[in-house]
Amino acid sequence: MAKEKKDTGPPLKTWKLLKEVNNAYNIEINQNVTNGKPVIIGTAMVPPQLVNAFDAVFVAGEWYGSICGFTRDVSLAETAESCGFPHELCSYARMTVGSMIQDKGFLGKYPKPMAVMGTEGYCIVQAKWFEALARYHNVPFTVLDIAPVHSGSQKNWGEEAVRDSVEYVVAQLKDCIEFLEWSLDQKVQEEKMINSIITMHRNEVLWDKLMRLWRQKPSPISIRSLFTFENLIVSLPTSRDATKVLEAIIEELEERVEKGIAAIENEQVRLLWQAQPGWYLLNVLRYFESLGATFVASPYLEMWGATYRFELCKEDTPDWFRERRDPTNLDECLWEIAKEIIALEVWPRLDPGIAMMKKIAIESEADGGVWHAVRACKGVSYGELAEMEDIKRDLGLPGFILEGSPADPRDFSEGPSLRQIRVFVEQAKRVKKRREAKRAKMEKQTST
Amino acid sequence: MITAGIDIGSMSADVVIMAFDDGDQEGKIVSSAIIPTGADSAGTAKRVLDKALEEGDINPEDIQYIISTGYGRVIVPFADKNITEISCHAKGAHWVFPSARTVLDMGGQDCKVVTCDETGKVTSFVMNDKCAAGAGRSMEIMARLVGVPLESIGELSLKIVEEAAPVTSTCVLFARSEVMELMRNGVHKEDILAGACDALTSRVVSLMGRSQMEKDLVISGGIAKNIGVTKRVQERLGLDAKIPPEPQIIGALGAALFAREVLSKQTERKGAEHV
Amino acid sequence: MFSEFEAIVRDRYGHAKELKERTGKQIFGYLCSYVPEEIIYAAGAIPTRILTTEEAPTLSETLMQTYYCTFARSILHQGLAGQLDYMDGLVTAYSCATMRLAFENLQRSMGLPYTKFLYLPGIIDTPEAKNYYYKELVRFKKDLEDLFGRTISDDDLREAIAVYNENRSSISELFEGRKEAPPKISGREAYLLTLSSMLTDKADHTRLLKKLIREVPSRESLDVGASRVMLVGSPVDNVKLIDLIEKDIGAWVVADDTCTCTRYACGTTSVDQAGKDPLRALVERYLIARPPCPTKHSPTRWIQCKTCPFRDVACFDLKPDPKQELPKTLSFQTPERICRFRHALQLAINHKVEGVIAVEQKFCDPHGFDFHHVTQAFQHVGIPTLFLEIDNMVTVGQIKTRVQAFIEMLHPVDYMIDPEIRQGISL
Repeated sequence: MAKEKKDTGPPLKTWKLLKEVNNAYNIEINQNVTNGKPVIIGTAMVPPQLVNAFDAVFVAGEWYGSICGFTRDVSLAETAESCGFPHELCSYARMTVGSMIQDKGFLGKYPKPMAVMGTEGYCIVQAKWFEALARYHNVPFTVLDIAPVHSGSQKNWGEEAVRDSVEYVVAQLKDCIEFLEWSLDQKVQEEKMINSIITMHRNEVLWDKLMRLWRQKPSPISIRSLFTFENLIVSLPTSRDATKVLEAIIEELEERVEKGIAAIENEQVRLLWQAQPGWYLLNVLRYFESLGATFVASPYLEMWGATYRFELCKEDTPDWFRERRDPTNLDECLWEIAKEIIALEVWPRLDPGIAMMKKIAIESEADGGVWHAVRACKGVSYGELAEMEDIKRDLGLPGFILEGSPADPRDFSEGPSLRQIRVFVEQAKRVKKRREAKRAKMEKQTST
Repeated sequence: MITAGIDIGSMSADVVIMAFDDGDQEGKIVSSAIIPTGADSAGTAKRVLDKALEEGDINPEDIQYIISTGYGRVIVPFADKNITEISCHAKGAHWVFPSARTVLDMGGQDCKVVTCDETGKVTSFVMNDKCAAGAGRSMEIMARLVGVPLESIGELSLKIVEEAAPVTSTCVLFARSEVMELMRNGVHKEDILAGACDALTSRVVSLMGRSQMEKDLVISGGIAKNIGVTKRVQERLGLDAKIPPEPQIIGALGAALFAREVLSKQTERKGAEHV
Repeated sequence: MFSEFEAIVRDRYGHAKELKERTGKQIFGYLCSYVPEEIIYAAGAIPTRILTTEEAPTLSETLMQTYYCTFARSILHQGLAGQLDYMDGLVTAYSCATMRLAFENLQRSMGLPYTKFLYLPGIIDTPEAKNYYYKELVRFKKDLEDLFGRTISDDDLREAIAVYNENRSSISELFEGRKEAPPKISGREAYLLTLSSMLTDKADHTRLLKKLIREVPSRESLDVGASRVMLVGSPVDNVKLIDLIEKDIGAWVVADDTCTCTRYACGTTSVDQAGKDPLRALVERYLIARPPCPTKHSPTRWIQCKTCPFRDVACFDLKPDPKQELPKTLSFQTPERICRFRHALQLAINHKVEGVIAVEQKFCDPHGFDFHHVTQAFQHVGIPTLFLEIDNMVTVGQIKTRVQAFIEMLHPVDYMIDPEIRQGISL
């Protein structure tokens, strides 16, 4: 397996800027361990716009867990397990809990929070895991309950139900503000919140653009680079620095697309990727590339952008739900935030999720898909098997389940996985040839 | 009073026969035997007991009480009672080393950490998961894969040529394919064994973390004979462990001791009834 | 004495079909103890819970990965195998992603005329949450009215509430016998009572219970001397596990905090409230009156702990900082609901429990995350805990060793009762 970490294509110019912004964030968290702004730890579903209306730093637990996974420090997970958190639980959670108990993290120390916020939605671990953190630290804890707007095949579900959900979340956001004011001993800053939301709207539009550029032929950026850019939209979506980086990368990629520069040479088959990667082994993705397979789209990465989310709940929601306005006061802010997180929570439902996956597959001209069965992450790998089957059946695209875990290297077996990957990529190439031959034949028939 | 303890494990069956003078609680071991467990557990039990009787030149009728233990404890037809290997290992280890407060029993199928008080009574215990990765069976598989006798794994694993090749998988089946990959890549067998012992050690140490460990630590069970693992466990924990001269019979020993206790309790009760 | 209850649990499909034929009513399956069955009952259908079977959930494998718990996978398997074809509808309330995935797959594959996923709030004791769930129940009622083509009046609801209340309070009355030493009702019997209650018409079931209430006081007392243990954690619906503890090893299961037994039977709906607005009353019963599942949270929980009688010993790793005062002005401070740790501790103390077995369906996140804190809480009141991983196919080997060693630890070995005596107990 190739060891070099760089893309086979030319290096990204924006990389340096991205590193600077990410590092600045890491340093900020690090400083918060001793002095400076207080830390709020929460799930990636906690709206950062809310926390950023205070003088506080927001640490998304999933991001923190992924970095722990990146460092491959298995002792963190082992510590959590030895304290009675079973191995079957989410690896992000075990890594974070271990980091907390050992007071050891990739930054040196673990960023001890002033308060902890969980969310309840498609993933119940996002409440339980943070409850465990809060209990351990003995700090205030609250849960934001994100009600759905999906209808499924439900009857008597309409605009009113959607409004109920939004109003319910808005009411809770008010409680959250009160909670933060009390635990941080600060007043909420309306101006800051408005600006955060405006910046975030802009960043999400940029993220969508980035996702569109990624799908181009040949693909101008590798999925591994995008996983590093992901921190901008997870931890720093309300930051203007993130805007700068996103604008720069978009400009660079537009240029690449125009000139037809590929990030990965030898793009023989184009693949979809679903779920988080194993952060400890991004090189597995590199292995796909060395075989001539390039990843060109991923619902997991796309969901951070507005297009994906609002498209997903299009049939279930009235127009006003999907309309986005820059807020001018606190009430409007809360309304915007509520819609935003509700839309984010909708994504793993089977029917719309599968429909969306199909749409992405067609739009990105994919030749197959890889579903990372992230052990113990029931939220992200929700319905993966049904999704893969439907795509196989309806689009004729081959699919492959790669078993692993986002942050625990012990749950991934490299040798057998690489062999399976080799077999799958060969299969994808064969299927692609067959499909092309079939299409050529049909075109010939229609022309004659 | 003569009692026997019989431990039917997944890999070996062990028997200890003890004799106690009147009023003596200490007792002494008069005979013991170890044989590999066969497919027929009841037959194995019979065979290993016969062997111990023969070696100690003891009449079967003289044995007044038999307690069985180990995972096959319920299928010993001639046992008067069964008690788990967890209680028995604590009891047995405490008999050999009265200062024992934590017992690490590494058997063929699973691995247990038992803490006990100054009388040898269990105060807490943890067992590893249902899979055999943290246990003797995985060592047996490794030995077979690498092509060395099981007994020499420990010594070989300490003769590292390069650095230990990590065997990260927690599952025996995964670990198996990982090791095969390493062998194909020409890694020295000593290094592979070192990696396997390291992996087993990690599992054991992580299990130890779950119980409140107190000194002294005693290591019992078949793997206690594997110096590659015991040495690493002690290094990782940063303490010296006591290893009984014959670690495999500790469970059977504990059972024989329990047999005396139960028997004297019954005699007392009967005595009280007569009066 | 308990054979009728056992027969229902053992032949649940047959019983459901027989019930359907006899009453001419529709049968609605449900997956979670949070589903307000009273509404379904008021609509004229019979709600029955889908429980697991011991069959390996092979059919679920193409739709759910093996790292989802077998509880959910077994339910999906039964649906795919056609074993649930007697059902006319399927309802669940949101508990966890695993059950939701099982529900969605059943919804997609079974082609039932009616399915409903009730969004049960994750926070359960704020006015907003109650309000939200109330609206959800209004929609649910409307669905059923459309489906059955008739209005469900408040009186219909009140009647259903009365039926359910009587059933729950009869079970609770019998459960009082679990406090005695030796218990009047074994753990196996307790589980059979609630499991059968979930699987049949409540009015019929209550009649059987009433008979039992008359008979139990005069029954011969159960064996003396066995340890008293409590089960907490994931749903337990296979009495084999209880048999293993009670029959094979010899300890009584005298209390539990599981949604298939005590959590299901605890807490009735307020008749006063039902007099005004029955749906509101149901919201109160399901969100407040019953003991909560660990997937349910409260923004007041942390504040509540400050006034909890167990606060110095229980579920926090660190003691609350005395310098931090209780905030007096928070509007969302409504400490009315009992916290699940406090509920479990109180049960353990009331039932003189000697050891707690924390059962976890392998891969169950809600209970998996709780175990560390459950252990801490019980340890501080001097009750040891055992962590026990199970699945639907209760495998005896290691489970037995763990439980037996745990019981041996609670009681000196030589006082343990002999197996022959236990054989005589009719269970």
